[in-house]
Formats: sequence, C-alpha cells, structure tokens
Amino acid sequence: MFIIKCPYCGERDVTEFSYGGDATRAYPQDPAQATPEDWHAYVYERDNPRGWHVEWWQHSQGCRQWLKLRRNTLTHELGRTALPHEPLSPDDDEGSDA
Amino acid sequence: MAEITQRRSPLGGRAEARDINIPDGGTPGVALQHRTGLCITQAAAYPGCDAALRASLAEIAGSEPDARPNRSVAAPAGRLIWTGPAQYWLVTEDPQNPASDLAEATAETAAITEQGHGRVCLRLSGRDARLVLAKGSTIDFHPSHFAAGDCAQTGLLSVSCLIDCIADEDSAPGVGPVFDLYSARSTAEHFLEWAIEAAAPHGCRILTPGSGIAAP
Ligand SMILES: [Zn+2]
Repeated sequence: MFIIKCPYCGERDVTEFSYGGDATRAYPQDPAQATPEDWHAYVYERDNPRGWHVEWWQHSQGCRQWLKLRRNTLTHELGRTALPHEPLSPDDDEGSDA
Repeated sequence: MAEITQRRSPLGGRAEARDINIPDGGTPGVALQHRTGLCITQAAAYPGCDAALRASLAEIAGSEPDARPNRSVAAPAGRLIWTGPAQYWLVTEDPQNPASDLAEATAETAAITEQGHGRVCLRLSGRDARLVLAKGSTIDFHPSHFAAGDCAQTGLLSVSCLIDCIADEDSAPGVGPVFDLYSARSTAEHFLEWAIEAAAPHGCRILTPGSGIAAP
C-alpha cells in the first residue's frame, strides 16, 4: 500500500489509481517511417528493471488524469510524479517529493 | 411514440424518511437525504479552451467556476464543480437544464454531456458527518482541510464518488457540515446502504427525498 501524489489532487491512496504499465517507452517519432521492429519494441519490449522505474498511473477514481510516477520496484520507494508531456526518467535525481 | 419524461429513482424507495438509532429525546448525529430532480451538465474543454469554457459557464451559471483543482462554487444557477483538468460540472435543478444553451455557447470550445440520469446524489449533513465520510475514504476530512467550496473525487468504500462540501461549521453554524455525495446510478443502492450503515452508530435521520441544491 502506498500514497501517490497526483499533480492535481495531491496525495491520495493508491487504491484510487489504476496502473498503466511502463512509461519509458517512446512512441515512434515518425510513425509512417517506423519499421515493424520499431513497433515491436514500442508495443512489446519491457525491461522489468530491479530498482528505479517510471510507470504510468491514472487517477481513475479521482480527476482521471494520467501521470508518470517514478517508483523503486525493489524498495517500493516513490519519487516524483509528472504529467504525461513532462520528462521523467528512472535516473531522475531531483529527489523524492512524493 | 409517447415521450417519457418521468424520472425514476435508482433507489427504489429505499431512501424514505425514517430515524435510525436516535435515542428518545436525543438528536441525530447526521442526516441523510436523497436529492432528487437534479440536472448535471458536464463540460470538458477542448485543448487550450479552458478559459473560454469558464467564460461561457459564467454567462450561463452566473458565476465563473474556480479553475483550481478540487474547488466548487455556489453560482446563482447551481453548483459549479471542478471534476478534472479543464472539466467542470454544472448542477442545476429541474426544470432548469442548461445543457443545450451551454452546448450552443461552447460549440467550438468544449464537449457538453448530460450526466443527471446516471448519477444519484445523497446529502450528508450534521455534527458527525465528517466521521461518517472518514469511514469510507482516506481523504483528510478535517475542517481545516476540507471546508465549504472544497470538493474531491475519491472512493467511498471502493465506490467512486464525488464529494462536494457545500457548507461547513463556520458557514452553517448549528447545522454542521453539509456534503453532497454523487455516485453512479448503477451502484446507488449499495452506496445508500453503505451510507446508512456508516451513519447508524451516530444516530441517523433520513429526510424525505427532496429537490434543491442550495445550502441549508
Ligand atoms: Zn487527481
């Protein structure tokens, strides 16, 4: 059980959120030129890291905003949250504000 | 074909007036009332059109919605409630239904959807109302944190619910805080049963279902 900081609603219980998967995958920059290998990597390839990761979560019982959450898969420690258009990487070193 | 305009309550007569666990000569800790005859109009701005939508809502409701998250406003026409980024509810009373006027005014700026048929509203008020809410959600309902003009969408015992605080200890002395709880029609019965069960230990007076969205 943990508490996620929604960019709009503030700290809310994880039970209000839905998990949306790996947020480190980038949509092919030029979809028309993307190869089947590019699409395969975007749709299927996942790293399953041990440690810091960035995940999609949706505040589904609240404001319904999708957000990125930096989370440590080993310790369950939480880092920053960000809106979808804001950059957030697993190596983000801005510290935890969750 | 005949037009069907009569509303049917999703609560099927389960919210009729009665007293639960109120000792003789005692006062109820909370009151519950099914609010009937509400029109809920949802407005969601297209990208970059939040300010334009708020201006249109101001024209139709008489007040501008608060753009800050989780804030609600008592407007002349009804309640204006923040429901998400660049999204608002305008809650009015029958027969005032602003949906078509709003849709016309916001044709280029927002999507307008009527939600009244799909929601049920319970009004929870009284001395112990905050304690009842705290049984269902992890949100902090202390008066310093959740007062008149604050709203939140959360789960009450896992049922999705929008909670709008329309009056608090300061604005309605003697009445206690007043919350309007909006939940989906499909879970309305379960929602009412939870509310009654949570309220019963405090002494609960269920009021005759009624209309109106103004603060008491
Ligand atoms: Zn939120």
